[in-house]
Amino acid sequence: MKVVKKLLVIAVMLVTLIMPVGFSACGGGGTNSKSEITIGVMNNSNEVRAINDFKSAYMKKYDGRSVNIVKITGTLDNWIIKQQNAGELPDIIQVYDYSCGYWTNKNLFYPISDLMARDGISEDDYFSSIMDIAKSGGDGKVYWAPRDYNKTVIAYNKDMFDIAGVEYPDDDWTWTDFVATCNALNAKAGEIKSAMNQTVFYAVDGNLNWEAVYYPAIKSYGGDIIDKENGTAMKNKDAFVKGVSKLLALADDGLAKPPSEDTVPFSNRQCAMQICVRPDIVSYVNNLKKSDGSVPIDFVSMPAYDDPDVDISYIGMGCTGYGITTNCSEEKLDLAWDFIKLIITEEGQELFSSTGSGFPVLTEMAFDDNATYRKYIPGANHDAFYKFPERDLPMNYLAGFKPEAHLDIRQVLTDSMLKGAYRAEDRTAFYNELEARLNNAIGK
Amino acid sequence: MHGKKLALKITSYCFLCLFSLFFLFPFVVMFLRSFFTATESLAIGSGLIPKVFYPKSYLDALDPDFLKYTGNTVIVIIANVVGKPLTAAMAAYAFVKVRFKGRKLIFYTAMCTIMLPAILTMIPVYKIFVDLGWNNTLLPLTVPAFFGGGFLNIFLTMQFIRSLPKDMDEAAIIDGANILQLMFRITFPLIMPVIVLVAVQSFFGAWNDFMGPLTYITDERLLTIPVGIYNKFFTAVSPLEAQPNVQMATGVIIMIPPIIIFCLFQKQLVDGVTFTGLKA
Amino acid sequence: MNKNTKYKDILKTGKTLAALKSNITGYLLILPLLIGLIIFTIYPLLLSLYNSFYLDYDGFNNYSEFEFGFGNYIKAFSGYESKLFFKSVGITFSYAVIMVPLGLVLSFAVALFLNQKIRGMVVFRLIYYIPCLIPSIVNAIVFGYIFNSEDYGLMNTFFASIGIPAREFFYSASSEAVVTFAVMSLFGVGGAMLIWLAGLKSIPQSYYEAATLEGSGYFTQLFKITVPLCTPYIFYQLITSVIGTIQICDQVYVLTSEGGRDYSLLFYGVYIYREFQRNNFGYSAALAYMLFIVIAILSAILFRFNKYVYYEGDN
Repeated sequence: MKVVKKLLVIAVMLVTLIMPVGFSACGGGGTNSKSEITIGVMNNSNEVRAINDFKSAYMKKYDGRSVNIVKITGTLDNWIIKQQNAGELPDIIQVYDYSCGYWTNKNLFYPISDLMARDGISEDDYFSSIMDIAKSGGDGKVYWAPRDYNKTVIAYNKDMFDIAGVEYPDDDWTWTDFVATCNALNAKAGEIKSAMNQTVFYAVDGNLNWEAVYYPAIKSYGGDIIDKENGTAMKNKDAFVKGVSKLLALADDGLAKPPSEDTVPFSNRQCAMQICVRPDIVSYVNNLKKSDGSVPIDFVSMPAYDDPDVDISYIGMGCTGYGITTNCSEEKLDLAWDFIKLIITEEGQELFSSTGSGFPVLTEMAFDDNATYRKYIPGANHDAFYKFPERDLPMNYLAGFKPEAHLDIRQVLTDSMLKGAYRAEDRTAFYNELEARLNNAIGK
Repeated sequence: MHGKKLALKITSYCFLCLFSLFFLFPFVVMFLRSFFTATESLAIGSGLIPKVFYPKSYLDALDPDFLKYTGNTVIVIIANVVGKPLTAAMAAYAFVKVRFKGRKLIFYTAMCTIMLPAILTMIPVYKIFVDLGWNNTLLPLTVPAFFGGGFLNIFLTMQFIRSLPKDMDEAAIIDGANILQLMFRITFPLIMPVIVLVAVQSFFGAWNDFMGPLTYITDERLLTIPVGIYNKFFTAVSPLEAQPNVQMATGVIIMIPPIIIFCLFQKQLVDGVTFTGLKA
Repeated sequence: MNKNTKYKDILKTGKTLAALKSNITGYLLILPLLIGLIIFTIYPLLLSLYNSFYLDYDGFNNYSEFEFGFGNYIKAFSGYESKLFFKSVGITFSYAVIMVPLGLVLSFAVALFLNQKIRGMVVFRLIYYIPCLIPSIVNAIVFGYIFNSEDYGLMNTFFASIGIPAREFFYSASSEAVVTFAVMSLFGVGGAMLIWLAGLKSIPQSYYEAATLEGSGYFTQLFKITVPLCTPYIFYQLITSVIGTIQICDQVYVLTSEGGRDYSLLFYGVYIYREFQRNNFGYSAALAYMLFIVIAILSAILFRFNKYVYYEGDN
């Protein structure tokens, strides 16, 4: 009797487990037909949502075609290697801008310059800094299609500025202005905390762990992560240290949240300013929207360094995009190209910017005063997202340099910067250790 | 004497309760944190009591991805729970009751496999699976269960078979049964307890297996629960993707089946340890 | 004469027939295990050995592109890689040396407490055993939060409220990371505890009663009766614990797949897996073989202790 009871319980468990699977299994299962293309995307709900939007538009436009979305497991680079070894790369794959050069040199992508010319798409329609990244093959051909243009901006909470009685910042502001604003906000931390019903307050969340924030600081002071001519780490080490220290000073003085990846204080009303990019603003809007529907968020460009050592105050930018892999067969090339074309032309860009998280990569759309992306937070300073194009700095510090070392170099940076720098008791020792690790990564 | 015993009992009880708090503490934390909203769970210093009570994180945890992973895990578990006890019992029976050439050699070779670090064989086996083309299937996780089931299981079953009385066998042989009939009709029903033990242990092994799916499966749609959750939350690029509250809710959910199975089969598991035959 | 020889012949052929039948059935039953051994154990073992002699073999290209020799083994001991190698060996070794005895003693103590006739023992047993039943992911989820290195984690929020500066726990570059990991793995004593309970139950109550009559106290009974009679279990636990601890990989991998900041959590198993993920099949095979050799030596040493073990039925 006991045995029967036990078996019954197990049977019930199995049925309850399998039932929802039966329901969810209805969704998947694509046929590997001649008119189906496979697209590999990051395992990230934003990316999946974006590609699904494109997918529905594509399937509506081209009747009879289907798209199979495959999510990446683990890190992108390792996954691509694994799939290459197994001979199962998807037809289109999403890569971030910083990996684009590496994979172009590994012959992962199929050049689309001719296809672009054939269909009347000119490279000049797009932001030049982005096109440079797309053409990292060294032969002037475009290998990768960018989807958006993400410049770092500072988003700020207008309510907190009002409570502290601080003036809203201006796009032309300098680093000194920035630090002064932080100090002014910090002075009224008590009032802000009680108004927002929080126990923690930082003037700014600098997103300091992110290379789009620290690389421009390094480059502005004349340094670089890799000295490409000599093949060593840290070009102009003093400049490197100076740039990084400028950022760490914010955290050391208690103005900025210490570098970490684990918290989102801006959405939680725990900080007044946030260095971010366009895709991030959707969740800020969702969380900070007030009961009357208004959103107390506005944007301002990154401040410029007013240090005499600094020539250009760079602003980090990045993007993500898709490339047609060399694994894509001849018959499917046109199908894949049609998908890419959808993304980079007005139709796809319009679709993407209407979600609020996409800033168009077509210059015409970006400069349009009535563009869709501006409607996301009406009246906000959306110009900040493309102002000062001469200060653009793509994350291409490894472009054209020793492709076999890219993955290791990037790993060292992800491990140490800037959380490790902030936490190090002896910063000089930290920088020396970082240099050694970078040199070791290069030397492989 | 009675007082001493009572005092001992009380002190033991106190310690046991203290230990229980210690062991339960992480799960209480997990349970409390599962009621946060995603944003609030990412606030600095958010603590354990949410400002907004959000039980919907459990619904968020049961999204189609998670159900997909559960389905895969169920398939793997069924294969393991059926395959491992079956092949282990077959091998154990052969080692104990059947005389064949090379029996000792194969037995000692199998015994030496305990010493092998799992990682040593996993890497070439991955390549074998890729060459076989099993890359995009669940076969790398289900098929090996039908090939022996691990030496410890075989050993356990052997000890149990050895402890059975031999007169049933002799009676059956006199009645003219061949070895297979002997095995299935007589011995197997008697070794049900150890079969159940091996099956239950295979369940836990398959439910909790992390390195296996991580190594052999690259297709996201075929991941099992541990690696699926790891992939979903721990390889996130931005903190919002990591959704701590849904992580906690998922953690609570995946604890439930193993606990249920353990409660059902406690007796077998605990008794089974006695039969490890440490009195070799 | 004829009858006798015939009888002997019949017996003989009967015996060889029976032996043949026995052999066939035996091999039929053993077949899955045999195939499994060959395909999943012996062949990979040899292939791994072969791979380890090709410097930086990446697993999928032709062998001829790689240098043959002891390159992979030398690599572990020279250059920058040796720093990682020795660090991971140091971490794994020191962790095993401390945690194996500690784990055994602690789980034994818990089992002693549980071995009384107290109501609700079943509930306690369940509570203590739960951490061993759940995937290692759950550990990472909850302890990753409790021991988070920012002022977001539970411990650090608590510290902040009483004025202690935040500690780094898993993100520390020093041994603090391994210590935090050790604390986390203490939750896994339930597994060993079950085995001790079985052992404790197997000791006849009469021994204790006799000892109490002779006037010996609790601790004398413990060390003179309980421990010696548990030696088979101690032996088994020691071996499995040592072999298991040296190979730790997935509990650490879920926390940090790269070995933590400044490689402070780079256990040997994680090191090997990391190399596998970077497609260094040759180097990871060499590392895994060195691990195998160490385990074999350790097992051989530990098996010598077998002579101290008391088995029932021995004198």
